[in-house]
Amino acid sequence: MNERSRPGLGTLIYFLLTLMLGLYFMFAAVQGDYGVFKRAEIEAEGRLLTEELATLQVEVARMENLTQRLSDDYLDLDLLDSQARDVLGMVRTDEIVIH
Amino acid sequence: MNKDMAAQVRAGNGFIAALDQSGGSSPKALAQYGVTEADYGSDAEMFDCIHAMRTRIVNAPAFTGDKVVGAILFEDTMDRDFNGTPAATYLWETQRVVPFLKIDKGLEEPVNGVQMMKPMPGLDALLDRAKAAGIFGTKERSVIGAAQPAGIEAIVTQQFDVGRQVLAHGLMPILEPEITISIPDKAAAEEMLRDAVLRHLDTLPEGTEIMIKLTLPEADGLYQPLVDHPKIMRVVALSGGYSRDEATARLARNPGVIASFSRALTEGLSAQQSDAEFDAHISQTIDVIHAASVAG
Repeated sequence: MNERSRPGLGTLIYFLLTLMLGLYFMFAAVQGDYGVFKRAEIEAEGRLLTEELATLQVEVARMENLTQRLSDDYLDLDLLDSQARDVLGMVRTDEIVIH
Repeated sequence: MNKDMAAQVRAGNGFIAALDQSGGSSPKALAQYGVTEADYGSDAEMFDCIHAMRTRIVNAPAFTGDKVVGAILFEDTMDRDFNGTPAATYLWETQRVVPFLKIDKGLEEPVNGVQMMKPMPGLDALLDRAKAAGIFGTKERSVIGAAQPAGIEAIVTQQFDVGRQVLAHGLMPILEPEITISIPDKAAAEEMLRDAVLRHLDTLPEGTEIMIKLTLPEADGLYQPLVDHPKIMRVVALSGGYSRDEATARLARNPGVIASFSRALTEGLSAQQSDAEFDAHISQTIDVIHAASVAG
């Protein structure tokens, strides 16, 4: 007789354990370090960083262009003129600066 | 307006050069020519060094109207002489190079993705002086840094307003709305610019002519409607940072457009070269850019 009643308890424990594991994995799948929320968060961060990278690449390209146009083997007079004014604050002798 | 100069510009057998070590007193430009700060003691001596170099360029046998259609001078150069003759007069009467004058005074801070020209107080007086000195036309530069309709419209409006002021003095304005070559939406900006210019051309009276200086476009032949427009005497291209090979290749793919590289003609020139070496080098530089211009 005993044989039959002991299996009832074991089954219960088995199912309880299975349920708890299931709940844990479900929770981990959503909230965990490798869960859905975390994935969404990382993807959003990835998009932000991609946008920032694009912005920085545009800025680098702009600065490379300016640097090249003021280099020794390529001197762009228009750019030199505007940079001399903007960066060095130079003006021509007959010009009046109005602040 | 001088008919012969206009005919030479319209024929466009060559390119328009920048003839000044800009900033007049820029040690950087002079150092590139091989004259260091140890070679001059004061600003005045530096001006003299720079002017000596300019004179050497102008006197080079290759620097004539055969290949150099025009030269854009800075105010300092217009007020000086070459071999005892006022610069603009010497350029045209001796070298048959059409003299232009750069009139803009720098750029404002970027707004709406563009940089407008700073105010030009005393422009009328300057234009009168230029007319008296035999200058044929002027050049005014602003910069477009993004394909934003409002910004581009503001740039083109300002360019045409100043252009009208120049026309009123009997001079030929070169409008230069430069598009930065490194921006991602360059092609879109170029289309907006072309359409804005076409709209503004309709506001000019019949028979009026202007010139326009544009960055070499992404789409070949994009500016053909401007090249063919009756109110545009000549479309000139600026390299804006493209290497010489890239710029000349793009130029060749845009028929009717000639080069106007504001890159100094002093690439590779140096004070230490003999006159023969100097003349040979500048001749080679001129040939390369001229070939690209007429190939276009």
